Amino acid sequence: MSLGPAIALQDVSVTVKGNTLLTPFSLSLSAGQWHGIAGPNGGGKSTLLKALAGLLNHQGRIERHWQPDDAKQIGYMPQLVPFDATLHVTALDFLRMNSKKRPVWQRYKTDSKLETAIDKVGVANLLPKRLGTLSTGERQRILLTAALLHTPSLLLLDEPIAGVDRKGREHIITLLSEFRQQGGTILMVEHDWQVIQQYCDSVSWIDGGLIEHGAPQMFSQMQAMPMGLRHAS
Amino acid sequence: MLASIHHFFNSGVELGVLPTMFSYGFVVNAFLACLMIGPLLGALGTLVVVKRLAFLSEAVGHSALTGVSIGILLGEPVTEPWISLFAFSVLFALALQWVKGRTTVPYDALIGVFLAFALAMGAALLMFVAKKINAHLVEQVLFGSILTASGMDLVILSVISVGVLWLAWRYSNQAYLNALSPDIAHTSRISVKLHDYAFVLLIALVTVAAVKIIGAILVGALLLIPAASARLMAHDLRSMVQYSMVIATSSALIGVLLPMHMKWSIGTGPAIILVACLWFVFSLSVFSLRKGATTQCA
Repeated sequence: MSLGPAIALQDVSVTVKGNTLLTPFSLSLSAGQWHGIAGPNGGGKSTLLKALAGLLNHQGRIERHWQPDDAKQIGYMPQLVPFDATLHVTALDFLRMNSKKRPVWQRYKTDSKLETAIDKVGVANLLPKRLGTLSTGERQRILLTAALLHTPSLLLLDEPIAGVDRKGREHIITLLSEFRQQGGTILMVEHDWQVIQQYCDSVSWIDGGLIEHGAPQMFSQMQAMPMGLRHAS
Repeated sequence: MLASIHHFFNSGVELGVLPTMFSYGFVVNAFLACLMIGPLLGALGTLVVVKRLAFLSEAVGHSALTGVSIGILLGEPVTEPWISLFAFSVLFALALQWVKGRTTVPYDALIGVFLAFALAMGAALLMFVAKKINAHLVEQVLFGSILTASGMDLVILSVISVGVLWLAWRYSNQAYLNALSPDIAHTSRISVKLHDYAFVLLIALVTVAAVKIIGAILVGALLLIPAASARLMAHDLRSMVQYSMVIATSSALIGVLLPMHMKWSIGTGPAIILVACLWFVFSLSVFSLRKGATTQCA
């Protein structure tokens, strides 16, 4: 995998139907690092991630500085996608939809990329289950498998370990650490300060715009406070 | 080519392998048409169900009423008003999608408005043209007919079938992903907007292609009922697509051939949809039995 992109935001703001969700700010995120995005609920963390993924119109410039030999693949994991529990779409169906190899209505034949991603995240036992019946943690792991499918060099993750049990969290964190060690760039919305402090290279505190950006240690005084109180202070 | 197919069926009748009704060219044409529209509607119907857009197929189906009437008014052949039919239904579907992207009205409400417009406009125009044409032709437009599938219709159906098959092979994974999670589809460099437009366009094309056999009133139902039935019996997406295609094709074939064989005087459209409804009841029974068995095991 090639080194992930550096990301530069210049005077970026997001306004939806006249409602300003993010006021203008500029930010530089280094290549090949793990960047945390934190802030209070409703502060605009997911909005920023969506703007970075190109899912929301924004004002200002967002530049991704890819390496020359990079395939420019982005892996995106949204926050808790709701799926219809009665719909007979299995986890394998969903992963096959993300693969470009063979139509999902054809008999499944070995797809090395897909199987590598399945083994990596350890979701083989979830494949026959219907998407809508998966637990939150299981669903997060399937979404992560889909995000890793096309060997991306940039991962945009919206609370990837929310609702995942302890063992699952450790497994996902290990995978992301490996991704970071191989040079990938990660942008992750996260509420757990312990995870941010332990693994992220930088943190951006978002609350209607960029409030603070720096190394996680800068935010150490916030660690003891609940998220809502941090906003009030 | 069509002549040699007719000859082949005639030989089958002469040898006693096929029922005598296959000695009629129009029956063979209708049979061939069903073999094409069944899989098309069945497969596309699964996408309609995943996207929860059952109402959309009804609206586009009803737009065929207006298309036919405009064609007759403009002087197109009464039994083959293809240009107006295609043009109006495609414009109708594209307009619906275009308005959707520019309003805050929920999609189901918007489809309801378009459906009402299509039905009202179609009914008004059809009443007007009914004075100029044979009343039986109006009945054919509304409820379909076994008599109407011509060689030209079969050519148009073949072209659409090959086109849809190619699109399904190349883009169905993207279409299903877009239906389930547009956000993930977008970051996978799938053009969500293009897929949404292509979807309504396909619905319009396939609906129009099937309208002569099934009729404008019920054509949307053959997109919906087989897929809804398949959903009850399937265990994954692949089996849902397969069941839906089998149900749609068998409903079309039985609905066309059985009344002909039994000499029942009913329209092909209602007959096809009634068979599809029987499939739905069967699927419902299978679902209930399975559910009962699972509850007992638990």
